[in-house]
Amino acid sequence: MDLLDNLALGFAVALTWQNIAFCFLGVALGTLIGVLPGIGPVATIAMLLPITFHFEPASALIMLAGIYYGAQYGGSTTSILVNLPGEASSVVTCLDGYQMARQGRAGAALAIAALGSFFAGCVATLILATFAPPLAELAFKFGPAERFSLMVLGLVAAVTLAHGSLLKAVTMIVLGILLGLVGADPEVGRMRYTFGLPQLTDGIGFVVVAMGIFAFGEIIANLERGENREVFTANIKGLWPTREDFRLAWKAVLRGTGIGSLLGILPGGGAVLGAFASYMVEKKLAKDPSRFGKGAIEGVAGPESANNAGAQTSFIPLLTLGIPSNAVMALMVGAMIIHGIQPGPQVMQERPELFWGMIASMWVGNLLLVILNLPLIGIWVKLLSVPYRLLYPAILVLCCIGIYSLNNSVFDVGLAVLFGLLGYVFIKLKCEPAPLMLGFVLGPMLEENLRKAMTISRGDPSVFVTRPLSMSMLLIAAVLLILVVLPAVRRKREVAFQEP
Amino acid sequence: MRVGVSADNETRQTSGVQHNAQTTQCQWGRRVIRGRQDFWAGLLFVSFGVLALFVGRNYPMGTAMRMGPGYFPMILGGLITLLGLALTVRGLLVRGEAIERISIVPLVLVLASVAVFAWTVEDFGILAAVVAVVVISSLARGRPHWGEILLVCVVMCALAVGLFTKALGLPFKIWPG
Repeated sequence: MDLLDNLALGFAVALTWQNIAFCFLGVALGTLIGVLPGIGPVATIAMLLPITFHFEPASALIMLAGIYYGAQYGGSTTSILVNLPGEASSVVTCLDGYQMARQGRAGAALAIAALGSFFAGCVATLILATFAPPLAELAFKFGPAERFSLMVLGLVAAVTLAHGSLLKAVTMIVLGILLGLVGADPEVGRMRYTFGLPQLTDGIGFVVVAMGIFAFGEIIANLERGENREVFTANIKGLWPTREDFRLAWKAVLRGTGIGSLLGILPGGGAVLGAFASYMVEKKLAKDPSRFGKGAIEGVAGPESANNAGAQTSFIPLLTLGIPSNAVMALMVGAMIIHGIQPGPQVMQERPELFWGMIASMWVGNLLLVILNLPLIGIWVKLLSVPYRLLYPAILVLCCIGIYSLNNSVFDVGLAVLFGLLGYVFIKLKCEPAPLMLGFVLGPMLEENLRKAMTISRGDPSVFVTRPLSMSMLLIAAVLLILVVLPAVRRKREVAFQEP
Repeated sequence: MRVGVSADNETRQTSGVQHNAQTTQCQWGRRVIRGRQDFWAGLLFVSFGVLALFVGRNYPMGTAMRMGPGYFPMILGGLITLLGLALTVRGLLVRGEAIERISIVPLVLVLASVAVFAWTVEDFGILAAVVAVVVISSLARGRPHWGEILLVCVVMCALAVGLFTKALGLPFKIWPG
């Protein structure tokens, strides 16, 4: 069978000592930053991108992917023990996980979270391996018009599924696209929005944008809030959940895996959405919903499985269509481009070892994560007691080194200061930065395909609606937008993102 | 800074009713601008949009069939301006959350530490730059604990030299001069 051959190839790559080591490094780093509040996978991956230039492409991608799904494991630890979500995707885990910890059942919560995540990770890896090839096959039939429409659909879906104000999210996307156009025009070489600065000829580096907006803005906002943490570490002796816990949790894990995998594939989905959806489903299905918020184990098992499944299936649009579905995937695009790989359906054929190696590494990584998170949980708990005042100067140093070393450019570091200011203003104005990052990465591709499509159609814009594939994608995008604007759905959407 | 002004208004409101003129101004502001976040975000976007249209006004537009460098940016600039205007209007009409307090100290010190890194790293070497970032940014959080700052400095300098410069071969100059 094809699938088995492919997976065998993948494991042959993923199981070399070198790649196991990079995978371990990635998931350990991911767990670390997941545990530490105040630094997320976006900033970390941005920080490490320049360094991965010195690695083999497969090793680099294996490590960076590990950071993302590893962060989902680590994020649950802080949610349960400190009631502080280490990652956005672990917000809902706080609700019941922290209550379990207060009742002295932190061990059971941590174990269920890790085991549920492991199960979800394995299933999601299989889904990725099964569905990626046919999707890539489909993507090969795409012309410029289809590619343009697909990107529009991706961006629209990203805003409708993201939380917060729709109007702001759309504007952030357009602003991101515009920022992506800075630099020499790809066709005629005319400088655009460079303000006479030669350093902007190749455009603004995405590491600069990501670091400024996600890392610097976030650190400043964290510093304002101050820290008051209460860690429940005394009670994590009994690590193993009871038989009753398993009985309650296993269905939640199954459902969470399903929901997470499905929502992860959608553009804009990723890990966060699945976790929220899963929590709501569990609450709806429970015989006694009032247990939720008071330490119901399903409220930990479901969302934790969902966020891990979603983190992994969100690689599908990137690897098959070349379209990043969230800010982390946008950075993965950057990582691939650094190594001279254009993300898209051709990766699977031209670099099968890279593609399948990455997928197989996810399974390896999940196994490593269970080992890292269950027997070694004590180490991560100790790390929680490192105060933020020691962490953020260190994070800032790493960010500076990361930005500078990408092009050995002092200019980039200065530009990141500007984006840091902008990022802080966005936080204060409640403008989600992730859509801007997506628009920024997709901007140049969007323009290129728009131009090509219009040239082929001799300036006739109807090309986007007369080609069936392109039309159906634009139609879905339109329906999505209309749905979200409808008052009834809008109210539900607001509730969905606020209630848990 | 525009955002700063609105935050000032907030603090004035809480600080009492001593200054009559200012309070009236606040109430006026509150009645006219109902959703401050939307309003200021809208204005920010409008200024980006207008800037894009203005700077790009001379870029060749080309035709729909052969789009010039100006075609797509003009669409985007116009779109941002319109969306920003819509947001501003919504800020005037729909009641929304106030903007949280802006703390200038962490903002300035964190960004300044990065700027100083940019300024020092090539002329004074990586060690000086790292120490500058750690010391300046540490001041952003209340009373400095100098022992801890020293510890972070030592650890990060060791990393910068040992890992980044020696092991990973990044082309940093270590010492000044």
